[in-house]
Amino acid sequence: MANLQYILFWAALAAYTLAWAGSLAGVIFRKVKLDRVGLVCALTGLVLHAVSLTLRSVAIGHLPLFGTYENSQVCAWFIALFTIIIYLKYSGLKFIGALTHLWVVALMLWSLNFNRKMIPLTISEQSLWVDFHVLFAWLAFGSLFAAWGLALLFLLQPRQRFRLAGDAAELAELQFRFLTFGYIVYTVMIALGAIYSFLLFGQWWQWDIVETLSLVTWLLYGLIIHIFLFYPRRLVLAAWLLLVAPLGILLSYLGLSALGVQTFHNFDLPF
Amino acid sequence: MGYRASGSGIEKVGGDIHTPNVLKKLYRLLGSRNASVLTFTMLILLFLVWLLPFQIYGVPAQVVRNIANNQWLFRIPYLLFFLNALLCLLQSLPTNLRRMSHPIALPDRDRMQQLPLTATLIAGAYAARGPGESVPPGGPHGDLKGIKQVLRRHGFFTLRQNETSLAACTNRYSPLGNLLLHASFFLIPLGIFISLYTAFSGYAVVTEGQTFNAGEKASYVNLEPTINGANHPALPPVSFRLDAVRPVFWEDKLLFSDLSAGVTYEEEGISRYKIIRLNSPWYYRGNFIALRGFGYAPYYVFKDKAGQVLDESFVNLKVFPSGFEDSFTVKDFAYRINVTIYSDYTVKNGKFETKTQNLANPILLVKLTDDKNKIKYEKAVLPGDPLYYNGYSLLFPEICYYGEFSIFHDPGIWVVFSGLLMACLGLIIKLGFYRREFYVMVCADSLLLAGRTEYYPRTYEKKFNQLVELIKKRMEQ
Repeated sequence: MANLQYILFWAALAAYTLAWAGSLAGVIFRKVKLDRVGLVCALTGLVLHAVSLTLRSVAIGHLPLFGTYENSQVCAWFIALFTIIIYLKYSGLKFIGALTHLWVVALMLWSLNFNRKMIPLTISEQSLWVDFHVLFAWLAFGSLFAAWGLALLFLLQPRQRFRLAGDAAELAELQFRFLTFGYIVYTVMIALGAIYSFLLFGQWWQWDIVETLSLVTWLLYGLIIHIFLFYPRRLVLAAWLLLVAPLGILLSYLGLSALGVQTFHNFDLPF
Repeated sequence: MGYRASGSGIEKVGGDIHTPNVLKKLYRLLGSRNASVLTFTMLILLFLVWLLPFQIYGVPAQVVRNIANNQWLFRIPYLLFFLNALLCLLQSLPTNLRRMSHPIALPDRDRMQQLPLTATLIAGAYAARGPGESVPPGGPHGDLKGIKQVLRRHGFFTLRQNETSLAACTNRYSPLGNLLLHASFFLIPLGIFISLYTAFSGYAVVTEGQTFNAGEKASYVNLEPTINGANHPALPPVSFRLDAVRPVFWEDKLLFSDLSAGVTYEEEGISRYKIIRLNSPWYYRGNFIALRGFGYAPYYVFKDKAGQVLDESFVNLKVFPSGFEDSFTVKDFAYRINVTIYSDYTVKNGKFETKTQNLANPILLVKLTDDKNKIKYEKAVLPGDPLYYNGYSLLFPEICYYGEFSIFHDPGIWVVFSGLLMACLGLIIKLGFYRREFYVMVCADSLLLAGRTEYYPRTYEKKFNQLVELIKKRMEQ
């Protein structure tokens, strides 16, 4: 079972890489057909990856939410999902995959740096609060990374090559749509985390580094929403901030363990 | 204010420049959108520059908390942030309440022309923003009833109508989202404030078989002081006996797949049993009793040369996981007793190790040290095996567990959680159930349609055009 799960992981990674390459080639050579190839590969990757994650979940007896290996992969899956949703729903944005699939591939490769042993959940993670906290986190990351891709398209849109990607007003609106959805679920994620922290530690906010980074990221996205709502002439600034904001997410949820920073939110075990 | 000469004598010039105008300006300024952006930016930069670097560097958690909670460098921006949220709420309150109670008004032609989306329907054709032809659709007054049906089917449930015009909107209560979101920024600090003055937190270590009375100060290892450092609020009236602590480890690894404690307590004369798990505290009479950890509590018997028991008791030692050493002293014995427990021991290269973390086959490594910390005697003993030194004997007949408990009571937390819930609901309502408007006016020679939306103008433009087509088809029937 472990071998099959691993084979499917590599197959999904290959499919995502082809998806990214197809979208990128479509942009460079301005051929819509290449982008269609990218879409098919992305869908294939999504399905293979879902099967791989499901097999892992069945083997370990819990959702794949423990450790950076699992979290990076599920985060990648949700980014791929949101990218495909944008592609299918908004036919003018054919080349979004050239941007967001890069994150998918990068996160899949990043996950390989961490312990992939199949470990049961430790007692502190066995809670519905954790399950929902993580589910909302994945939804938030997927949506906010999609907003990142849209922001990049918005900034590149004045360039002739990227005019295939829809007009500025539509891009701005889509950015706002994914930003607001991501912000809502991100807020719910923080609230659920605070509640569980109270149950586990007796304190709902301890100023742990993950909490600080989450708060900074939340404030930054809140600022971006204010710019969209009340300063419509500053959409370029909002787009630049949307490009920067996911760094907080990456650092807090996927990077701290690599940096060796002490935090209760580090779930990478040494065995 | 000043004076000038005029035909009628001396007259005052200028208004009174004192407090009311200044206060109003300050009120508007602190509750303005610019102030919101400023407070957001201030907090982001403050955390990035003056908190995160310390955390990344590894400054102790208590120091970081002190910086974030108590330094005026942080308190002032917090105050400005919450003040801004409160003032935004107050400033927008009349408008939001009015929009909910009187959500839509019938249009007039001039106002309709100013809306971002407009269309003019004439018989058999559709023209947007242009002059119409002569014959109106469906007769001189159109079919407002039919139009209402079309709008209702597409979510425009709030409607106002007279003989010649119609106004409709979706999500009449969308302003509630704004109110909830901003009110939550008032509720959360209120909860924190309540907690500061009323919260209680105590840490206790309870051995298996021992009864713990949370109402007695002496039962605790430590108690968190209240904000003024004075007497604690009334200690919670909780008392229970710890029957058993059960740690479960995965394979041979230091990974708790379960950690629970079974306790017995009395309620209305009836003895009840409760299992407390690490991940789910026991909520009892307004207090939380949480299991935070466990350790080993070996029972020792210390005898003199004549074989008389001089001292015996359970002793709670911090010797988990295996390999850690802790010590204790006993009455009338000059040496300190240092103990290391290997829970499931094996010997490798002449040294003790543990195969698993389960207390399956324990051995105790006992060292006696003098006041200069020099080891005088060392021996490994199994439970029940005595060790002898200078005629004294020491044995450990059994090894039990102790549980580390946290007892906390925090009335403010419910206010904080309510605030968090309000913030989430407010965001969902505000950003997910936003307002869209649709207006219809029957004119002598045409049907004027107009609309606007709170968010997503491009999406609503498509929707508006779709509604116009549907209405046009309806008119042609």
